[in-house]
Amino acid sequence: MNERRVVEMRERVLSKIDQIAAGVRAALAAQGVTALNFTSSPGSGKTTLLVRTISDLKGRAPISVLEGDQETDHDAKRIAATGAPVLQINTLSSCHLDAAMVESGLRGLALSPGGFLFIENVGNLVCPASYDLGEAMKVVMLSVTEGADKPAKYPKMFRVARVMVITKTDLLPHVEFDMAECVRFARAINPQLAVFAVSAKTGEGLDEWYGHLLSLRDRA
Amino acid sequence: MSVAAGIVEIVEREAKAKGAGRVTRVTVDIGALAGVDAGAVEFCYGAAAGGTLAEGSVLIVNRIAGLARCGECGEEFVPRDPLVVCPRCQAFGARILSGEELAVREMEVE
Repeated sequence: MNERRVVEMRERVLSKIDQIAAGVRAALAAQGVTALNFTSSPGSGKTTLLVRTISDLKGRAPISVLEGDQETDHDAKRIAATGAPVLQINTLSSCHLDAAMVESGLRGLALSPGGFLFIENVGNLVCPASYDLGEAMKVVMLSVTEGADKPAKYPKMFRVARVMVITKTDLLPHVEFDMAECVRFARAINPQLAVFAVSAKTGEGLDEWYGHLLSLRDRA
Repeated sequence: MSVAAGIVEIVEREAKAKGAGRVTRVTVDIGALAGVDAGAVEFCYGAAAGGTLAEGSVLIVNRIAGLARCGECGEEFVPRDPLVVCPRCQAFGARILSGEELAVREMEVE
């Protein structure tokens, strides 16, 4: 019988998917790319805002895009029309992107040093909150056609996000959306949350949003 | 299963580094707020350890209760989930003092 001995370890366990996310994060940092994971309900205007952001920041920040949707490449085509490098990931039976999908997607996507990687997640405020894709931060979007209490209903997403963008503000005259109440709910859950209110249609609020984006990159 | 596999991976790597022949016992810390079902890890461990130096080893799960302190009123309480609301003053954003652990603490090898 061999001698038994105890080995002290105290090592944090990362599940396989967290290890992949850590690898993605390290690879992006090494390339000087700031990655943002955009989440929202379906239909809150993620792609529309990303298309406008890419177009308006042309010449100031190169942006590559990973598009996550359950099916179709409709969103990737909209992004491709801006000239930005884009790759569509179809999650099929899955309701969210995971780090393994991002890792393999990045093999087919050109990135620019000093630029951004926008990861547009599947429209879903539940599961994507629990999946680290290797991003620098999550940005949650919410349109004024939705309930102002959404942050209270889906607290985890608003807790893990660092930025909230309220979209479609051009529709405010036509809907009963209480902006102050929405921000109050969100900040109650996440006091540090940065909040922007924008319209990709009229351009309202976009300068502040772009300023924040560029500051994230310059801080990285 | 992914967590159980992660445990086995750490254990096997360390066991090899220490020149151990096999692993007989592994102790892990799993906090109540780690988002990991300790029972599921126990259930999956045997399968995850199969074919490795940890095959047949005993897994001991040290369950750590959650504890949070409210940033507003200082109340200490056991949070229901990681989105902690103070039961006394209803403030959000209490600091988690314990319960988020997910770590291999030690192992016995021969």
